[in-house]
Amino acid sequence: MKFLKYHISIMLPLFLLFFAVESFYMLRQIIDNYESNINNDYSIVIVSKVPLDKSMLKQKVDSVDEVKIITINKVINRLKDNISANDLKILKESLPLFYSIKLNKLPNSKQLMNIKKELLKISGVKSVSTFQKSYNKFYNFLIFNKMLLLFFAIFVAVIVLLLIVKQSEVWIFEHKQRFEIMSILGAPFWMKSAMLYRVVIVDSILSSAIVSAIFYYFTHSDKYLRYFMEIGISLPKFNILKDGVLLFGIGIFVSIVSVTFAIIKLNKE
Amino acid sequence: MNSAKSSVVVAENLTLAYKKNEPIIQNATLSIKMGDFVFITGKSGSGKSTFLKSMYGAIHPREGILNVCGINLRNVSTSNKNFLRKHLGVVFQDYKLIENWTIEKNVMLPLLIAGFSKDVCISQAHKLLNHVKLVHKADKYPLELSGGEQQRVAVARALAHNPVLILADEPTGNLDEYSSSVIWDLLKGANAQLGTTVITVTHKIPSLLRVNYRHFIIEDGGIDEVS
Repeated sequence: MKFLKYHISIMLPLFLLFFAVESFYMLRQIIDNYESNINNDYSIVIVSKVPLDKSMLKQKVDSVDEVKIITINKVINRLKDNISANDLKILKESLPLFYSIKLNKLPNSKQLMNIKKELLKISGVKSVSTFQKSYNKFYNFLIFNKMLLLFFAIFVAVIVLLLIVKQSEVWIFEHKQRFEIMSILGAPFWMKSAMLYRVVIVDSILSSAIVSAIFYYFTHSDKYLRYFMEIGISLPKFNILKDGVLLFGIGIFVSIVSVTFAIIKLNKE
Repeated sequence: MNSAKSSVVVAENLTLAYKKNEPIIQNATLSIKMGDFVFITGKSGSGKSTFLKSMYGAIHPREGILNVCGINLRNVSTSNKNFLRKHLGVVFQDYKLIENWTIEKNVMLPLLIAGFSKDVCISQAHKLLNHVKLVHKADKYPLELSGGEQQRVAVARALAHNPVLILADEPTGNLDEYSSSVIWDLLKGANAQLGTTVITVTHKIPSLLRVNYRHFIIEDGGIDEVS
């Protein structure tokens, strides 16, 4: 019972830390996915009198990723029956060219206005549609989400810091007597510290394994995946090798830092 | 270890102080030889425990020389201090046993520190627990034992690695008459059979102790031997 209680006292803060870190990590991935979805769906339309190509546009706007011509044949074909072939030919020749361009990253409102300005400078370009109003709506929502994420990251960092300090105090309290007695009996530094390091390494392995199993189940369960899909969120899958090892690494790092901090303090006392 | 011609403890003009210009022991000179059984007495706050602490390097001399088992403790390095402590047995009034370790493991501790294999440690711990008549409680934790039993465990731990010198700080201060006599018998036995030097700080020398001992009194910062 005593043994269990001792290990739980170390594992509990590690659980909290792992849950916070993994939640932060998943949330970041969800927002990144959302950003990339917005970027995929968003394009600028250019109306030009002269043919344009990617290199020409890239000279003006570096973030241009893809340029596609919008064919107007469908519209012209609809008019085929109502006007003569000659008029159709004149119409075809007098109509401008339409281009849809995609950017490699989402610009903010100011950058978008600059992009429009730069594109309009190209000779032959008659108009540029950035759909700024609806774009701003999405972009602001994204910024809001990113801000929330930043607050969450700060919150996690504060929690981690508090956990480190708290856990170190607990260790100092719990091991003070043992440290003092071992010092009087001439135990070397490594021997006094070995037990603490061994305990935190074992507990980090156990905690990261348990949290990894929970997240793995949660992100691989059809029930939860469907639920998130319904509300338009694509839940990133927990990767045991990548995410599990990351959690274990963080756990080991935080534990070793806090144990070392506690040991230095214990050794001074 | 250099025993410096059978002198285990040599102090020359020794001054001990926690704060500068507030000496607790001043200009003390004494020599304790191998196999001596020594009592150090004095009033409360006279510096008995401070002197004992200085002998295992918990307090460093401000002035003078303090040589224990051939190691000068004036400017001792951590490794030398650990080396010295590995050859000492220390017994405290409050036992200083590790509460979440079994008494067997507590007794094993000096042997583990000395680097003996686990089997040797277990066998030696059982021998000593048998000697202090607590082998049947080897798996118990210190707080499950009475004060007298805990002090017997502490003495067993102090004897575990066959130390050159045992330092005991009021070892019977918290014990009843019977438990006290058991502890004195154990210390006397170590001194008589193994030739271990025993230095005990106490406020009162036990009257029924049949042993040749030396007696030092600490008074007004000085240490004087009572003839």
